[in-house]
Amino acid sequence: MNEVYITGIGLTKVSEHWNKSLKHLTYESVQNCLKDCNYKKPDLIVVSNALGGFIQYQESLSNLIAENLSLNKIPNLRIETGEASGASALMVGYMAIASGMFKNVLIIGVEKISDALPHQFISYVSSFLDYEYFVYNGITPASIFAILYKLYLKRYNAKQENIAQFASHDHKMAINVEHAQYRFNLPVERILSSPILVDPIRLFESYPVSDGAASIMLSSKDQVENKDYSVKLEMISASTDVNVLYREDMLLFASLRDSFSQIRKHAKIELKDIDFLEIYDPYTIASPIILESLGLLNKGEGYKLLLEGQHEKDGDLPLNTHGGLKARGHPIGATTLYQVCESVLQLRDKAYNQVPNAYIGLVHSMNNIGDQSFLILLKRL
Amino acid sequence: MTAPSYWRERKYRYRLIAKYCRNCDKKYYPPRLVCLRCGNDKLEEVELPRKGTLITYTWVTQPPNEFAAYAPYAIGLIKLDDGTLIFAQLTDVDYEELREGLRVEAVFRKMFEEDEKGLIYYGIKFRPAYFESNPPP
Repeated sequence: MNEVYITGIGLTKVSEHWNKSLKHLTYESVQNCLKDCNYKKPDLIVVSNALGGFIQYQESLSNLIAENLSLNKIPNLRIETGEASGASALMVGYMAIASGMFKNVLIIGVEKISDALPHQFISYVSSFLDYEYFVYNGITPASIFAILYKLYLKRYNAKQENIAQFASHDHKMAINVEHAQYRFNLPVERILSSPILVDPIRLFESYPVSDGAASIMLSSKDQVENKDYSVKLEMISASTDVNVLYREDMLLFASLRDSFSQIRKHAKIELKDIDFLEIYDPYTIASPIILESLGLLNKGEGYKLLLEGQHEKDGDLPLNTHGGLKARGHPIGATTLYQVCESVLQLRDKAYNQVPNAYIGLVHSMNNIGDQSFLILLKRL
Repeated sequence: MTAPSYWRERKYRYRLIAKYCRNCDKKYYPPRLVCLRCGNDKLEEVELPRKGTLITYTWVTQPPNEFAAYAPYAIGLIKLDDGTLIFAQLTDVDYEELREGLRVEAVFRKMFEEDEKGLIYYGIKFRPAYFESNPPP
């Protein structure tokens, strides 16, 4: 199997881009990416986009984007696996290079949510669940997270102020990050006094409406020109789980546990080897469950390291150093690619909140309530 | 949604019919075609009990488009009397009256409707099982 490297990244600011379409956003991020990789010519384009069919009524998106970029005569495809679309697109790109079939694969993540009305957006994002039985009964992803939140608070006798702290952490990180959507401090008191979104989730405990595009150039080893700038994509592991109703324990993402055991087994990496971690945290309650499912903390103690300050950039395990889904923003199909781009910045020593001596980074991505989990392992050359 | 896509699920939705794996003694609702434990594809159809206990609940203020006219509404995680877990809307009750451990029963209700010429969609919601503790005279 051939080794896979990230030779270029390109981002747009995450925001509500009222004046930019899917085409504009992708164009901007791809231009940045091509410049970053010294204008390599891709031989495959993989587009990650979750809701373009619903929101912009646009299917065949990858071909439209390729045309708009004047990247014709190159095969292109679009990947959709709900919120984990970005991770899946990256996995397809990884396979394309690892197999030896392609030399340079351009991965583009793009999403434009601000074109949808709020009620429509909730419908669309709920379609990641089993529509016929969940959405039909008025169940949304947010309401399932709210139920998990209540179960968590009760079972572990936890306090909401401790869990809401994760949003505060994300916002503190985003202040320095130029491409982040919300760059301001958000003390826990303000989070807990914000309106209730889905009891007990407060408005500021949820991800915002975001538009954005992020692009990554994946390359085979012979294409790596600048070793200081290139990062090795060591491994992508993926696993799935049944929907929450069928699970033995609702407060554990078994798919993530499986995913990490694959990393441990094949890449011989333990949690102590990881210099920073990016997690997929649409609601604050996801964070402790993710950290517990990874095996980092015992059940019910998912916020312990946070309270000890160990998730700061100079702590034991820096977490979401560019603001996570809540402060950097969550342009769904592009989110994982943002996470990976930010991790590449860390490994290049160019991050906005630079972690000292960052050599190995781990990125987590998931769909729904841990129904699908991905882990992406990155290494400095 | 089109009429056929509505009709073909109505049996499962109206009568709370789950798929049952005899090997694993496990029920699936939403119904599944294959047992997720043993791979058995000869699943039987069984009716779920129409009473259960409310494990926990929440209040949806940001509904999907279909339910825009009905928000806010309460939803609950309910453990039916055979142990099957389901999510459902809670009805005929004020949010303040809800509590964990509340006994609830299934009731046939309108879920949502389309425009004037569209379909009206029905399904099951749950309400407090009032007569369980207060039998009618």
